Amino acid sequence: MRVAELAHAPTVRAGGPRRRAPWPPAIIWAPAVLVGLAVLLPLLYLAWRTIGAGTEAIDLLFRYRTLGVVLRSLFLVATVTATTTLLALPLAWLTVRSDLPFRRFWSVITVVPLVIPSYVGALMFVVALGPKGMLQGYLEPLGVNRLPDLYGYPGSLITLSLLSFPYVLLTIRAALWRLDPALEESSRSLGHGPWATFFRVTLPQLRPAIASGGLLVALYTLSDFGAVSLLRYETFTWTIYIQYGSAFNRTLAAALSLVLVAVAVGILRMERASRGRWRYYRSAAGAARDPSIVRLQRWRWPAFGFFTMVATFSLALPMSVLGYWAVRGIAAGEPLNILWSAAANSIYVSALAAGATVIAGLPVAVLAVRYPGWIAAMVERVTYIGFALPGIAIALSLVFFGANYALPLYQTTPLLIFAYVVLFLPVAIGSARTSLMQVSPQLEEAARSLGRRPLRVFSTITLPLILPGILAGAGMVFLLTMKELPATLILGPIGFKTLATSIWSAASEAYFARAAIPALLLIVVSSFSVALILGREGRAR
Amino acid sequence: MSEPVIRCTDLTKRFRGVNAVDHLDLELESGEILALLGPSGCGKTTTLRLIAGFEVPDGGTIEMGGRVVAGPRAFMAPEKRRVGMVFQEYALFPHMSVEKNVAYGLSKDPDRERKVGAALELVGLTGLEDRSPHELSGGQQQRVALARALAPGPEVILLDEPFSNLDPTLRGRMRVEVRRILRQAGVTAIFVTHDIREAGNIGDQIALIHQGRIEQVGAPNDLYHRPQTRYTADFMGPATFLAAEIEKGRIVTEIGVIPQHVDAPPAAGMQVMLRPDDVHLHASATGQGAILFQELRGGFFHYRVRLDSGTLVESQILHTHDFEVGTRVDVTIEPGHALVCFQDNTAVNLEPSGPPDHSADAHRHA
Repeated sequence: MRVAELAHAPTVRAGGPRRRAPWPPAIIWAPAVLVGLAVLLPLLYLAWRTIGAGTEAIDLLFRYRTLGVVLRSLFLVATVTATTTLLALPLAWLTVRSDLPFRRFWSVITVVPLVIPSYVGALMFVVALGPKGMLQGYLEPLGVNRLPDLYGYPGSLITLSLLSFPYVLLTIRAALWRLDPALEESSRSLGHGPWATFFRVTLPQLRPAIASGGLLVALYTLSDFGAVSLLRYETFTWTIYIQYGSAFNRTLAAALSLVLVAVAVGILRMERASRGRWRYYRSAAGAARDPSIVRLQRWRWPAFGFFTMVATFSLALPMSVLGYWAVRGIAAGEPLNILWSAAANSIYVSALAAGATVIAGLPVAVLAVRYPGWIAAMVERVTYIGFALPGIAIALSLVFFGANYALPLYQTTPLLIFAYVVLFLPVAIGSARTSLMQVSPQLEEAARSLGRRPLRVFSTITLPLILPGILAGAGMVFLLTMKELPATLILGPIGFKTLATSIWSAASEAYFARAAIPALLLIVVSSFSVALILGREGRAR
Repeated sequence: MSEPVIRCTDLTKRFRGVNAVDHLDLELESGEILALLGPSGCGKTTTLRLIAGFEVPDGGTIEMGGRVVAGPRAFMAPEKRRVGMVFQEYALFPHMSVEKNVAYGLSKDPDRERKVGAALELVGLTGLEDRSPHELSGGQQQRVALARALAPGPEVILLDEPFSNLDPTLRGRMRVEVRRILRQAGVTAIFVTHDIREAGNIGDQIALIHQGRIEQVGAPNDLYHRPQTRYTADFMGPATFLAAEIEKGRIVTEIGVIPQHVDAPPAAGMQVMLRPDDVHLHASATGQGAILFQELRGGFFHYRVRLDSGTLVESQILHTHDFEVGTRVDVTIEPGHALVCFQDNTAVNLEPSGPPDHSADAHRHA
């Protein structure tokens, strides 16, 4: 769930006399730099290992069908991004700017698909639309013995698009809320009709939102492991997993991971470059007016139908299929005690990850907000790596590192927690950053002028004020960890089962009923994370 | 002569290569209220922050009670300086009640309860101890900020644009209140403002800051009527600078001789500064100029007159002198005090020769 992260991407603050920030005290920069170095470690090790293998790695890359993997991954990323954008643009506009029936209901419902982890979504796709799936079962009496195979690309495209379009929807919607209505009014008064105004004024204003939402979807798709594995589409993540797990070709797996990281960084840079040089915000101060509402008239009910269709395919169908199999599973007497231990494991590692990530993120956030400068910029950029790094790449790097240099840590909980910290650090830093920025440095100065030392000032003034933000960040990390699959799968101690890995192993052996119950439980849990995101969207308005 | 409470010597602070505070010298006696006045970006807030200890100077020293608190080899942390600070946005701790805010600086004081009560009484907030800051009006928030800064009994209290967050009607009331509170507490105070009236209302002294340096220090009236530089003259209010020369101990201008004896050799190429209230107008068909512009300001008319030579002169006279635009008028200079002459944008020292017209110190120039 990366919406929150993007919202907190490093920004330039304006206003006030430009004071040169003082040199940060060691108690802040030392731990922050340490965190930065630790985060850098997996990436450096991956590069070092691949380069260490020298020509062997290059040979393997060329001998293996690497180009096919790259092209398939890029093709999937491009088409999922395009599909989600085309889907999200009308959905966003209709929920913010039109008199669509039940607008408020739809604006919540269209975000809910985010609660479905990709592997659960893919599982539902297989269950419902597989060659011998439920649909085929219903068609059997009509003489249909087998449905066409939709695995691979079409299945991945459909599943990932239906699950990830809310990312673009959320960013476009936020931009539509912020849009100055006077811009459209100026355009109309200058003689442009509603359509010309939309394409010449509104849409260009939405460009950064579309780009950042698209970036979220692209990175989500690129790093997705669950859906493409279950649907057997040979993109980076699944290929890497096979090379690591079944083919035991670790050098190739490492080399492919490094290429994957390079692709992710490339996508990140593309989004940066697309921002261009225009300014996209209200130029005038003054009270924000709410967006004006466009009457749809005879298009009102077709629009309603469009929403119903999207909600059916992205939410109602998968959830009812899931419910059906969960009920069947319970009726068939699936053992529930295994489920409870998996749930307990999930909660245990997620809580540890949330605590560790928040603690690691705090000095970085303080450094970034209170002592901007080159150290802060470097550390922040490094910790931002987790945003682009696919979980499988981090997991592999840590496996190799553990096996070669830190055998006592190999396949232990601490190493797993470390992977989570690297992956989710941007979330924790982001929310700590936002709440710190709301605490005026004057409060701290006032406290010091009243005779308190810096550490006392932090514990009596700053910390109590940023605590809600820190806890929200911890909550997000907790929920993200609950859903995380590839790193948990690869780094988890032997015999260590979480909800996510239980679903995955049951699903990959086609025990649908066994997978359905933990999946339902996980969806309930991750609903809270969506509620958190929606709560933030509401407050930002 | 007692030691000044604060002495800044050669104080310098650079931001990105620009001297925000530029070799500034400043002294403050005990119990004095000093206004640092100047446009935004002139370095007045930076000066305040240097004294508070939130910025480290790049040069010069700051002494407090004879002790160096910032200098080439010394830097005292802000929490050790015993300097109270009232911030522009008050910076009240939002998670603490009024009482907790005021008590924050008294953590180790055995007498804290009494001191908190006394501070709140001084600012007139007794009874609001348990409120939280967001439940207070702007004026009340400012009182809390003052009480909090005063409670630990600081040597000096610093106020950064203390009235800029209040609405105009409240601002006037709080000016009177803040002056009373500071006086009653007997504390030495420095406050920063860009508002001339505010500086004059509260400050015993005004230090006008220009590009990081002190342009002039003095009583508010001194700065208005006896500016030492054209910058001070212009900043403190509207003025006409009339070309003048000194001839036989008299100041001669195109509208006549100014009733003021000066002991200076003949000189040309000077300007005499006329505040609008120094200039009087009489309707006269044979006058030297005509009314160009009229504006009512309270009980006074403000006029701009174009002399036949083309020179513009400003005048402010009682509302009973109502001249329409275009009326021909005689312009006379009736200052009631000595006027200041400038040469090359600096005031010229004109020692009085004859008996002074009104006040003896009217000719004091630095």
